[in-house]
Amino acid sequence: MAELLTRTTKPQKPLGLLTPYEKPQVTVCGGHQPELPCGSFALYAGLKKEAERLQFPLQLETAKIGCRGTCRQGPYVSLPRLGLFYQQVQAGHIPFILKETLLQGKILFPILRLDHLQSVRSDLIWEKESECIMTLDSSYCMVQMARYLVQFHSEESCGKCVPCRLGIKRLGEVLEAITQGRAGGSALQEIETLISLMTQAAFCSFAGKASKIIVAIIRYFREEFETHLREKRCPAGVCGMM
Amino acid sequence: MSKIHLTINGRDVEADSGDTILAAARKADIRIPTLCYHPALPPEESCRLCVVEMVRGRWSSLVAACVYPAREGMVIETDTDPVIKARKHILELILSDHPLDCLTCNSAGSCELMDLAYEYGIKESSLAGETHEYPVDPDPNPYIHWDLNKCILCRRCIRACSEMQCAHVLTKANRGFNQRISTAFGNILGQSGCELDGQCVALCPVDALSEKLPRGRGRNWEMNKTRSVCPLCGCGCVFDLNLKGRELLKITSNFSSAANQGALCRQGRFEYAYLNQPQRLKAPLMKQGGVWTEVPWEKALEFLADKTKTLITQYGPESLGLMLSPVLTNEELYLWQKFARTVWGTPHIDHAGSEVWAPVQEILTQRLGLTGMTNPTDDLLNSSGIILLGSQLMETHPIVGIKVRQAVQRGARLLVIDEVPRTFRRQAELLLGPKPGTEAALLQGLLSALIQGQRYDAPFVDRQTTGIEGLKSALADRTLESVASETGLTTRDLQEAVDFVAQHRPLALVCPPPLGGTPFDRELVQSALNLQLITGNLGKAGGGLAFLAPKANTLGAWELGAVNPGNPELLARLGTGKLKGLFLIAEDPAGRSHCSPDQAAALKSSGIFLVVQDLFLSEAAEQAELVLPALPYSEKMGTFTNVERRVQLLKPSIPPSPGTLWTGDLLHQFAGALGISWPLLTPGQTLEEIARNLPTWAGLTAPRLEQGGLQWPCPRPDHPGTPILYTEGFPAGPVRLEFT
Repeated sequence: MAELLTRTTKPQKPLGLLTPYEKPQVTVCGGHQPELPCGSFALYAGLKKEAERLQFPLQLETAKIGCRGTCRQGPYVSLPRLGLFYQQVQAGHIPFILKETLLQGKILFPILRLDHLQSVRSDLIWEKESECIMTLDSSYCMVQMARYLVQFHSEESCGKCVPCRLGIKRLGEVLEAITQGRAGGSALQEIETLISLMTQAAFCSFAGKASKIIVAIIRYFREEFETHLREKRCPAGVCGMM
Repeated sequence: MSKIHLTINGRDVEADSGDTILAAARKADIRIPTLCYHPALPPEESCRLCVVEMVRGRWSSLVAACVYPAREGMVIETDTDPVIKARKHILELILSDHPLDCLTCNSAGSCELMDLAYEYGIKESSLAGETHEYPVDPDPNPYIHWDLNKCILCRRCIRACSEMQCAHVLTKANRGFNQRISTAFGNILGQSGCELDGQCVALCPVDALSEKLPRGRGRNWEMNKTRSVCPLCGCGCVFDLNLKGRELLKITSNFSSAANQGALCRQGRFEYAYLNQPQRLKAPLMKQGGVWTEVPWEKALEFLADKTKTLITQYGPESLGLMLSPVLTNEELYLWQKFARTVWGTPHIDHAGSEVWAPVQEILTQRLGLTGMTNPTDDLLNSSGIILLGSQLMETHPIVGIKVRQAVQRGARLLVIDEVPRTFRRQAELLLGPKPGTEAALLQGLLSALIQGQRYDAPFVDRQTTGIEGLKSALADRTLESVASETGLTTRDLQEAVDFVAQHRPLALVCPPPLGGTPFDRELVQSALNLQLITGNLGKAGGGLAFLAPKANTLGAWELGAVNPGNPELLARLGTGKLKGLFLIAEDPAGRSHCSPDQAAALKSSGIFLVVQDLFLSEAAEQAELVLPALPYSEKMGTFTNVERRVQLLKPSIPPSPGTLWTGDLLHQFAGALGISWPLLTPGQTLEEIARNLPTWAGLTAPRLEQGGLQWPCPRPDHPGTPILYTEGFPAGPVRLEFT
């Protein structure tokens, strides 16, 4: 369990250091249809021309979608190898995409799509596996947040195996006990035990992945848990404890 | 199968390739605890209790031993710290949603969860939390008790229902913590197609699904568990009787049996109450002044001897008749018929319902040499196609029916021939509903079409049969058109059936006895035999001809001479006035459906000297002058021969009730009263005598049968029995294809 909480994120392949066999792959939406009003064809042509001009080895493709050019997010450019997804891309972005993103590995934040389904960058989110990004200010209690996420997952568990069906349920109950000030001093150990069982012994990886968020919350906000447990006090002032 | 080697707990273990880690460990006698795993069911890996540590270099992971394939060079640890910890936590999690009322639990003593908690020292769960509160026993059925609060969701019941019983009644409902075992839409069992066979009850590791009848009447450790054989139909299911004192509390599955692999039917599992009835006869009864009075055995046998002697001197020995029961053991049947033939000198011996099986017995013995199913029930799983002649199979022989369903579930195709198919509609690929009585014509149509179209197994026909040309000309007028008009089917249906028969190899043919005690149709038996001969399906795994003997020991009764071959119908003699004395042994023809109302009336009005031996004062016994108490199957030793020719040993679970006599003793004393010396034989000695006299039984000895049933012919003490007949050809040479 200790390893689980202190593990660093996986090392990423340095951007721009792709081998010749790994030509950067770029996909543009509906780019082969010149009649579309959103300008995706112009973007496709522009990218192709600019890459040829810079002699940049690019694997340029178009996405097979049925869009009629009315999408408000479009046109988009996706870079699947890098796990990035740009939306509302305009012609002026083309040199930046090629030079900064593909060569130097920088992210163009103004057009980055922050979507838990498509933008998968381990350095942008807590855990790659949890596939979600959240920004919270200090008025959120992280224990409440953990409890909320576990409850969400407990409804998604299929219920086949014991570690997942009962593990997630009991994990949620321990977290709830912490928010209500009922938990004993060993609550964090209990959570760690449950999570290690869910990660190691479950039938599929659902329980393990569901508990990774909790691992991350405990790793980065351990003192909040300890304040709840030791002082019976919620630093964010959310949990009506006493 | 190649061998692989792996290391378990530092020991080198040899296993077959394809084994799971669990199988490999069990071969090496290394214990891995399991809960949702059961050898009779496909694995589910839902409890995760069998996790073991798989070591790969410097790191290791936990894998479920019940499903993870063993591989060459694998390193497995089964009781290291992480493994034990994981198991303890899993048990704690299970117990956190399980009522700990073990003190009053009906499963205490047979509960697998309790045993595991004991093994790992878990008293209670440290993780208290929400628990389920379902209504206890909400289902109004008479046999199966539901208590979902105790359910641990191992899903054995679901697998038993869908894989063993193939009924697909039980399933899981809801997600996550709210998951529960349910029928479709949560209907009660009676409205969801449940056959109440209780395979789910047999496999439930806790008390969630249990027998309703013995609840609160005994703890598991008070019960004496003994193996026995079901006497209700010809399937010969082996099961365990659970007796507390002399009371039979429940019947549980015995998964080591070859005849039924632990499966039982509703009647077999739940309908045993008659054995506990207090009205059972405890001493011989004689009518004295119109009232039944208990008399001692000596007096009863003296009376019997006097009467018998008088009848023999007055009317000759042939005036005596002996009606046996096909639920007597082989030993009893043998002794009774020998007694009647040698001491009385009468050939008029019969057993109830003998006319049902007579056509099959006669035709199969005459043409092939041996009777019974040619292949074991389990062999149906090897079939590619199955023809079922009569869908009453689930009523007459449920275990064979289950096997047919299992075969279909594993890919076999099914052709059902029955006018109104009751069951097997869902399983059948082709349903043919000929007019009643025209099934034989239908088979002859198939035969004719197969021969005309050259679609029979020519090498087999050439080698093992004769007279194909004669059969061809005999069936020349059975064209598909004429058969179609006779049976009321369309030629297209018939053509499909012909294709079905021609395409599926091996093809098994299953024919249960007709309902209502009607004999097998002679023509149908001949046609079915000819069909299996020309398609070359005899003597092969997955093929075979399965005519099912109707009663528990019908095959034994025929084999051991409980019939009069010249004049089989004993009860028909009632009206002739030639029968003056009748012994009815453990059978009540007046109250059973296989005796015609005329015969029952004749029995009542005949005024003959009637002696009845039965468990209860039955309808026929009321007409008798002397009633003798009989022994039920649970109190005697002996053997039964089931439909697949398997001779299975029956051992007494409890000593015989006081006041009853084993047949060997009874006949010894009866002979003594007659002034004739007759040896006193135990069941074991009787079996030895049978084995000396019957060449097919020569290898059957009590010690061998104790290990499990054996299928005759078994000619030598080291012979393994013959599961599949005629693998080496027919004993009397090529079989003539004909209609006799």
